[in-house]
Amino acid sequence: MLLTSDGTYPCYQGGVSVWCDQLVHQLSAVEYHLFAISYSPSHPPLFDLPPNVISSRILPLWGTDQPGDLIGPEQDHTVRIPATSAIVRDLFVEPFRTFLCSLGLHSSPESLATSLVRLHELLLVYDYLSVMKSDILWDVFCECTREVIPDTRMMLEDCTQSMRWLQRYLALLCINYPRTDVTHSSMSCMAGVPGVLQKFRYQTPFLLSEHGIYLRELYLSISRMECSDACKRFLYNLNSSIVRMNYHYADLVTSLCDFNSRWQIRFGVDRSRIAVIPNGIDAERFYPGPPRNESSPVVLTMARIYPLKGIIHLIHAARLVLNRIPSVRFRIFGDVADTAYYKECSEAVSKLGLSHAVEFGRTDDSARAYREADVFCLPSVSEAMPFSVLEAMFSGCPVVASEVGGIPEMIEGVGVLVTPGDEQDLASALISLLDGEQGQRRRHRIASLALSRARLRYVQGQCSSKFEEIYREFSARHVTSEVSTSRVVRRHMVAAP
Amino acid sequence: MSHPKCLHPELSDGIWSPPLDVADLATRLEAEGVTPAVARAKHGFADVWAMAEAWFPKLQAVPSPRKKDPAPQRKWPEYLRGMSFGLPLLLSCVAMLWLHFSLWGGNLPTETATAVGAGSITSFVLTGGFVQVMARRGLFYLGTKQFERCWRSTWFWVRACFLTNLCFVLLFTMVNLYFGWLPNPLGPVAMSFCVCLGVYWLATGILYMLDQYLLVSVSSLLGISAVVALHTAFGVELLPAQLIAILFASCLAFLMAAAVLKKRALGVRSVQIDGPVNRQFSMLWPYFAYGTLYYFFLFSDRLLAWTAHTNTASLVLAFRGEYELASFIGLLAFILQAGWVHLATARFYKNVRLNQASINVYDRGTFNRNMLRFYAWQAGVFFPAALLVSVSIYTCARMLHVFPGELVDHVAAWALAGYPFLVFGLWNVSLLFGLSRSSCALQAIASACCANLVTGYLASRLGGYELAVSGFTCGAIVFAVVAGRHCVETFRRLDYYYLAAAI
Repeated sequence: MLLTSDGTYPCYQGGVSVWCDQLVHQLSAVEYHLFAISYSPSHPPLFDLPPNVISSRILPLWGTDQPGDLIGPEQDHTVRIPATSAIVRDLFVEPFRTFLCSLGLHSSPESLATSLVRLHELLLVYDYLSVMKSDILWDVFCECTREVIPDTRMMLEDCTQSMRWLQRYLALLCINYPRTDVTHSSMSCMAGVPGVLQKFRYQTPFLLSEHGIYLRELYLSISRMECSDACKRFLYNLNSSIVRMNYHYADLVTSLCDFNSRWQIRFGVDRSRIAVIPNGIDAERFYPGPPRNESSPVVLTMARIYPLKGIIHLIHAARLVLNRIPSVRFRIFGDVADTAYYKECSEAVSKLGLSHAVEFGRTDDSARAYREADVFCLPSVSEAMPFSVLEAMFSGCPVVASEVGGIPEMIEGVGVLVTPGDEQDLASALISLLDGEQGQRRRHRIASLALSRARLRYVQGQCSSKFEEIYREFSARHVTSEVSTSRVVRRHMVAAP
Repeated sequence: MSHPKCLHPELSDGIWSPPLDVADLATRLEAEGVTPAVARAKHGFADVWAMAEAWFPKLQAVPSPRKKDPAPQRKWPEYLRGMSFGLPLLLSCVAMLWLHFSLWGGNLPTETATAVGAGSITSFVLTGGFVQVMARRGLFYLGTKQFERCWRSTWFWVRACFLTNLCFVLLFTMVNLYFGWLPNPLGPVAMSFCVCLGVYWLATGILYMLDQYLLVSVSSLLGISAVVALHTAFGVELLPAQLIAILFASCLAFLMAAAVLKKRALGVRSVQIDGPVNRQFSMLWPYFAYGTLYYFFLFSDRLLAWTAHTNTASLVLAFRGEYELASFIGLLAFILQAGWVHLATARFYKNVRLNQASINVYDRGTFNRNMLRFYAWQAGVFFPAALLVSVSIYTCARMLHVFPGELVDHVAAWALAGYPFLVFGLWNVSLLFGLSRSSCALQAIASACCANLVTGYLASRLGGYELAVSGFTCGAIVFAVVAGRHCVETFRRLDYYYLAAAI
């Protein structure tokens, strides 16, 4: 298998990373080649790779001297031919122009894929930097902006910024991916590009597993970006075109919950190519502890600290809860993924006088943290199927969570759903579970219902065995009718002056 | 009934932008808690999508908030910031005039002064390349917030430079034993200053890289104070006192740099992973060569002056005190003019950003022309002002009878004439480096060195030793012309070079 990821496994914490880690560990008979996109070469792998991960390549998008530098022991040391202006003009201009013109919202995924494959084939021969640094491609890019963003006025600044992004993103085209039986992308967009390339090169079946919905999260992050509308539009067109291409060429798209599959259908995936496979949890690790009867009830949040997790709403709600029940303590455990946001949260804690009651930190024993909590709270504004909610359910910890993504499917009737971003609603829900004996009774009741549901639907092993089944099926039907790269490249080289 | 904030741009916190499409608006609504049930019950729509479809056309018509104009650039603070780069030099000049010694150098016998001078110059030339490379790497890591890598890379270059200096000292000592250029104790004196000052340049180089110009001056001031304390109060000989003080100032500078860097790196996860070594080498060697050649350029006229007409001297090198005094006077002009480099460079980037933001992509020619006009304007303003500074310093020095003789007068006049060109060349080089045109910068300094050596050698050998200064002036003019020509060429396609600089 070629397992691909972007901004997650193995360099970052989070749901997708945990899912990937579980998959490669549980399917120990499957050999994996790992290709991961990271943000910076300063972010080393956080997960220990099992022996069945036989190779790993990490491509940092930013922070390297030049785009395309890989890190790790599996660096691609192949020496490529420096591209002269004549080579760029004769070989690269046409596919690059086609690529740009395929970024329009109504363009076809086929032309995008064909141009990317063509560029990929060429970039396996020619040096990436000498191509992308060429003034000829810059001129082509400037000429084509009207096709890429037809309704927006593009200033030189926007164009420069957009081309800089492109120079970094397209670096994944110069990597020689290993030939495998299946390409499994752990998310759509850039991580899905190798899947499309391998499908064209070797007819390799392409499995796409989406945890969140990439485009939804892209919308949310773009709306918060501090750049011009033209840049936002370019970024959106680039990413959405690639996501649509992923959807078009994926043999199967797996989704964690019905909520996500509804979005996938809206973005053009055929219902028949979608399979819902929920996450699973190790029930031997996450189990209920003895009944708690502490004088200071604990509200636990397990989430990375960044805006989509809605931590700031929890802090404001905490003030309201403490006004009613002063003994409550809030534990927010998770890595800081956004330092500015963490600072904002810390300042809010101080400003609201909550320093005694709100604790930020991290834990290496999350199972124990759930058992030592009275309520688990996840105030996110966007989620798919968070592991933390499942872990809390398995640990007998009652859940209060935002009504977003797949959370209602998980806890409706066995947890408390609140309106995302509504601090009053969140505070009321927490108070209803923490206040007096009535709250305690309610906590025990929903925790027990949640535990039953979790043991029925979300046991670990169900998830991995389904993927094993898919791998077996895909491998069996993998016809190795390779489209010879070398032939195509040779043709280009003959044409070159 | 309250609507979600995403439907009310006026309620957003200034970074609102219109939704890209209906799906974008649906996502924003969901993120604000509009579930299908909420859309039905509170807003009267069949579901979130229907609500987004109804609202999308209204929001599309709302323009994005206008980007705030960048804060106006204040001329004097930028100028003083640039000038503070030369503050340690100024401190050194003042100490020399007031105390008759500084962190290094002073009223010494000619032979000792020659050894100290030779050691100082060697330290500059040996460390110049390393400091350039260290700063280049460090600034890249700082810019990409890779503080741990910055830390490791910096120490790597510090160690590399220190080892190189030690190797040089060893080699020189052996060669000197054979040829006897600097007899004992002059050889060890020269090499001690070479190593100690090399360490000091490295330490201050890190502070410059971290944008801590004032801390450099602080370390320099404390170093001079240490010399005063040791020499005056405790009666330690001047040379040992200076060596101890240089090491003391170096330690201080290293500690301050480490504290600044560690503070920035706090809480940032990082690891040392570098790109392929051959690529690093091909990327960094022009910076190394430039750093070495720049200091060679700055001191080659002095070396030519010290080696001219030494038939009667006991050494192959002869320190020329009057030439040194004249050079000090020239340095005053350099300090005043160098402030402009910082100001003009900051203005360049501000102008690039403003022009890029206001010029359509199909009108790149206008951008390039505008920036060429900016360049010409800056040059047009700088040269008269810089010449005025040079002339004023010369006139003041004459009026105050600072020149003890005609020789100092002549050397100072040549040096003062050369500094405006040197500073202009430096501005061009800083732009060329900023635009990743390092080979052009290298070509400029290499041409300048050649011009300096040829002119200085011929003039000092055919005429008096003091005429070596004409090499400096001639080299500075060549430096300005070559760097300027490359800059103009670059500005003609600035749209492209500005893009390429980031890759």
